[in-house]
Amino acid sequence: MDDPMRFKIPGYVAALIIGLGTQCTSAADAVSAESIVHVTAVQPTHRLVKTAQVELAYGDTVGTVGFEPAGRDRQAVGPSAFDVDGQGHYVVADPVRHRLVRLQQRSGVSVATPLGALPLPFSDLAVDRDGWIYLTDLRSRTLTTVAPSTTSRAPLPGKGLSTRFVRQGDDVVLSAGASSRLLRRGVLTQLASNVSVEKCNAEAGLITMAPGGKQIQVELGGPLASIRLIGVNRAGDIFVIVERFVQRGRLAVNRHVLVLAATGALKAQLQVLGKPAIHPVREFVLGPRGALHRMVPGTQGVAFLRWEVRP
Amino acid sequence: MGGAPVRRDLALPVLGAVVSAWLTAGVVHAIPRSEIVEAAPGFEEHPWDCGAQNLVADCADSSWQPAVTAVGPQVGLPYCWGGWVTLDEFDQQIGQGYGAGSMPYGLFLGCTTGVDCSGYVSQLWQHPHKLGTATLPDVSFEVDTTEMLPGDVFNNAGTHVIMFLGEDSNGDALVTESTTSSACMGVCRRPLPWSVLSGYVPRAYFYADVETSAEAGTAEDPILIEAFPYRDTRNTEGAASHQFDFYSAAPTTDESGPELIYVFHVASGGLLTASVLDAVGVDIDIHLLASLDADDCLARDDIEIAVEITEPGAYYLVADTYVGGSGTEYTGAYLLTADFDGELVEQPVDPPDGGTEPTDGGTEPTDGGAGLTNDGAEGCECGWAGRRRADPPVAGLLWLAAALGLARQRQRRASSKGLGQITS
Repeated sequence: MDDPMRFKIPGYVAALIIGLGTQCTSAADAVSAESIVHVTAVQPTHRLVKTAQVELAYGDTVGTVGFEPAGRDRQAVGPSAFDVDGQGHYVVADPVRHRLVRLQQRSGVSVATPLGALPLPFSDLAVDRDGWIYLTDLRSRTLTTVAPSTTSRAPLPGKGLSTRFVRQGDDVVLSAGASSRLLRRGVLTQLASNVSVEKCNAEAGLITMAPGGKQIQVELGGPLASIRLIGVNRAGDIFVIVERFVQRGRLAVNRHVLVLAATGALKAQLQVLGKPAIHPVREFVLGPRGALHRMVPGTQGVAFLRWEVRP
Repeated sequence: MGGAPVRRDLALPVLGAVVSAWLTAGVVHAIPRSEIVEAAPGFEEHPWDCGAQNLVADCADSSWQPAVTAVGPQVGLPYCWGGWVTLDEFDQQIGQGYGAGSMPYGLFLGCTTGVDCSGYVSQLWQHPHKLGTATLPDVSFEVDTTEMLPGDVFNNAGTHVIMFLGEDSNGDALVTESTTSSACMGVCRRPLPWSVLSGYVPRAYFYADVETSAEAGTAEDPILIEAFPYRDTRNTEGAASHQFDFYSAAPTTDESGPELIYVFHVASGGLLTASVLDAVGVDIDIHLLASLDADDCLARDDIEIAVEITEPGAYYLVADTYVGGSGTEYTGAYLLTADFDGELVEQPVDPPDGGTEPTDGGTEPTDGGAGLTNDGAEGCECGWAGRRRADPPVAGLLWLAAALGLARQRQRRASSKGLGQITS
């Protein structure tokens, strides 16, 4: 499929139309009605450049990540969520072996450090700047906090289904619908404004962004299937993953990671190739240093890819 | 308004497989979508206690893995490969010490309980027997993602099936499923990215209820078919119309039971296909009339007709109740599906008295088959006069010809619309 952003509006200047009415509503609770901006995404001004690729073998021995091939119903299971800690190491949820592990490479050798048992089922994982680990379980509606020496459990805020971890700058935010809570050293603090993205109009590829305090409509081109927030870097750039329908019978969907400035202008984009053999709950992560990371579980191992935004 | 102007590309079912399923596995009932959707939380949020006895399975070998990892209170049914239980059966079996679920790495075990993906969908659809992802297409038809409704499914034959409930604000598909995913380990509800569903085919259950219309389905107030493909589920029991008893195409076949009458207005020629499915103990036959006169029968069949219409005008599909030799009326629910590859009149003029045909720019409808070619049959004779009651050799040839026509039509439709292959 052609990249819709390449034919929507030629040129490199985002068309900003202030004050357009909207048929979309935002879940953000801090949107001011007078600051609605309509943006047509155009050609990116930056690139996402791959800066690292690490591959680790499957298995349950030291230095590997557990994996089970597809069973009789061909639902392969394996590492399903990850995050990047302050040292740049990958913390991986390995539900097959019921464990959390920290993965890193030392002199080209994969090293896995056990971080404790992984409660099952679980839904998502995040690591804050101080190395505290957070796990959500939408089924039991609990948030589990794993500190270096202790584990605690608390009810999840929000309604649950839309609860996700999102990186905002150096921090981890638990986004639960219209509200967001900051997570630091196991303490949840309510945030005044929420960064959110929503799908507005599928065929037009229209989305609404609320990067705190204002509402922006961005026309990305359709047919749009979904848009999800990955995170926001220190500069305020918003990383999202966009899905578009290629075929609607037997479903075919393509994906792009977009980096949008707080104004809504398109900064960079990356086509995501391939569909992982395993569906990770958390496939893309914005690291604490602003790099984009992807976990790709395959049949022979798990790969971690890293990109950075460059002019 | 006409029943349910169907929203989507309609792949006609493999009737043999469906009928066979009915005969062997009990009666299929139409089910409102609201019932399907409302049943899901019962499985997702079902509270139960996992005891130590539920973390072992007497009949399993060491490769068995329960879907629950700890003793204590649980929420939601666990994943159990091959499992297909109601909530009551599950509670009973857990109490009897059955293993809590079974991850799909062995054979189906008789000492474990829970539901697998297709077992869960079968329960929500209230289908009378357990479907598999390979057999589920026999009781469902392919739809477009833009027109999916809650209660439809994403099916990947031989792999997995997931029920669609809607979209969240991001546009992710909100689903309910029984899965081995670590986020669920059984039945749960969650948003899924569409890319995860690549390769899946959106499908709708045949018997999921559709909108009902205000029309009575009588000659005076026929059900208007506004668009094709068309699909409608109704019941002839208590239907108001008893207008037609015998049709010219099969003058000795007693159709004196109540019927429902549909009308559609053709602007150009094309192939009409229509089928009616009913359950065991119910016998609804499908008829195509060129006017509201039983002598104007263009085609009829117990199950399926295919007629090449070449002239514009009003045509009537009649779902009529067969009456047996003992006088028994085989009334009941049926599913009518129809498709037409010609053009319809956009704004048909209502018949002034329910008995005359509307006009289309002054063009009068033809009478008695003029301008019509029955696909494989002559004149206004029917494509197949009934599987049970027709003269076998003639009926067989006519049916074969009609079936070939249908097959060609399906093939053409499938290739032009990207539909999946219809399997038998």
